[in-house]
Amino acid sequence: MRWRLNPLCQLHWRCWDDEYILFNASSGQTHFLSVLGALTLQLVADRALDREQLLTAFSDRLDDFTVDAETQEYVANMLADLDNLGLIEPVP
Amino acid sequence: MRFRDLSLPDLAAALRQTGIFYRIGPFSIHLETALPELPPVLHRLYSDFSLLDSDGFADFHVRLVSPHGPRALWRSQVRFLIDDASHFAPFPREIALALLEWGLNWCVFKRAHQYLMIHAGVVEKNGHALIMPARPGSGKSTLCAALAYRGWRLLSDEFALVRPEDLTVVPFPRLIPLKNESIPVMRQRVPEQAMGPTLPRTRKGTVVHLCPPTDSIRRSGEVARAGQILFPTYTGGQPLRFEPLGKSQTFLRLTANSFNYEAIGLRGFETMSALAGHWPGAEFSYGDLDEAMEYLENLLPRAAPPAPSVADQGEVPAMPSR
Repeated sequence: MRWRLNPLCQLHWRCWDDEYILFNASSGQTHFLSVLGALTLQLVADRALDREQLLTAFSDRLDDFTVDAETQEYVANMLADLDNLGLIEPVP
Repeated sequence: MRFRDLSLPDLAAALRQTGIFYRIGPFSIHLETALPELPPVLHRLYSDFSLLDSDGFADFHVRLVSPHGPRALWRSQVRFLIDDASHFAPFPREIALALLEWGLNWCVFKRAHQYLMIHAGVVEKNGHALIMPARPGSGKSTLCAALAYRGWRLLSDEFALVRPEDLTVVPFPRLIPLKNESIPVMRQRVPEQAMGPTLPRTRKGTVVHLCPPTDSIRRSGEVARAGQILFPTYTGGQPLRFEPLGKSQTFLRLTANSFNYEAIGLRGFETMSALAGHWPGAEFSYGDLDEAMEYLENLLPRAAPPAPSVADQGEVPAMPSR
């Protein structure tokens, strides 16, 4: 399954000390994101990606990221959370 | 013209007949009441507040009335009306003054969305506003009252009204509602200052209203720039603690104490993030009021702060890349 940024989102970012605060003007909601969450939104804003492509992208960009069972599960849960928040959506 | 320029009989007659128009900070209030116990209290406690010419316009049209009906036969009550509509249950009549003050808070909280509103005490010195967001019972009002009578200017003990366009704080100096243990503390510190009657058994315990300093009322048209954000807690007997917070934590704590952050949408986010970005806050717990005030005296710079930018701090943050 590939994911893309929800096209209805109007995102406003603040980044302080590796903590990302995101305001979605479409929903009026504010979100606190980890580096991975913020990076995911930026990557899927450019083009739709599946989980494997995201894991590869994280490995390429983050020094201390390794793909293993734990990170795979974490990323799967994170994608589900971002979907539930209306920030990303599966590509039909 | 101020309240003190009216005689008490004239004030009572005006309140009873057409109502009076007066100003507190940026708001004009039209108050009508025929309750005979209120004019003497208002005449004394509001003596320095400005009366306005009654052209019929006011931000809030307020009436305090004694409700009729069978309940009035065994329990005397008072009702707060805004634009002739009632939004609260009646209060016992002996705490009518508290109802007036809390009712006006409600009016501001419900309507003043031109500001980002934070539940906070605000005092100012040397051009710096010290913003102290806190939950009820944290000792915020006591600290504000003590600082206000130590040479700081009181902007509010309840609302930080932040203007989104320039991040200045608009004064809204009201009567300071001292509660429970803080009442004897302030009576001892400022025995000569006017205080209202003791209001027992309110929802917040015993309450006594303290007049803000005359200078704070007189200068209520002068906005102040934010200079420091502190989250105070009174911890009786414990040593003073000042623990800086990061910007994200400051943002989170500010939003938790805001009345209308979500209601005003993107303007709220931009204003709140600009506040947290420019002035990362600190946890401030104290067990001794004098020690706390001494610390705060030395905390703010002597010179007035420069004007901050409310400009967006980058739409999309830079991401790690190799």
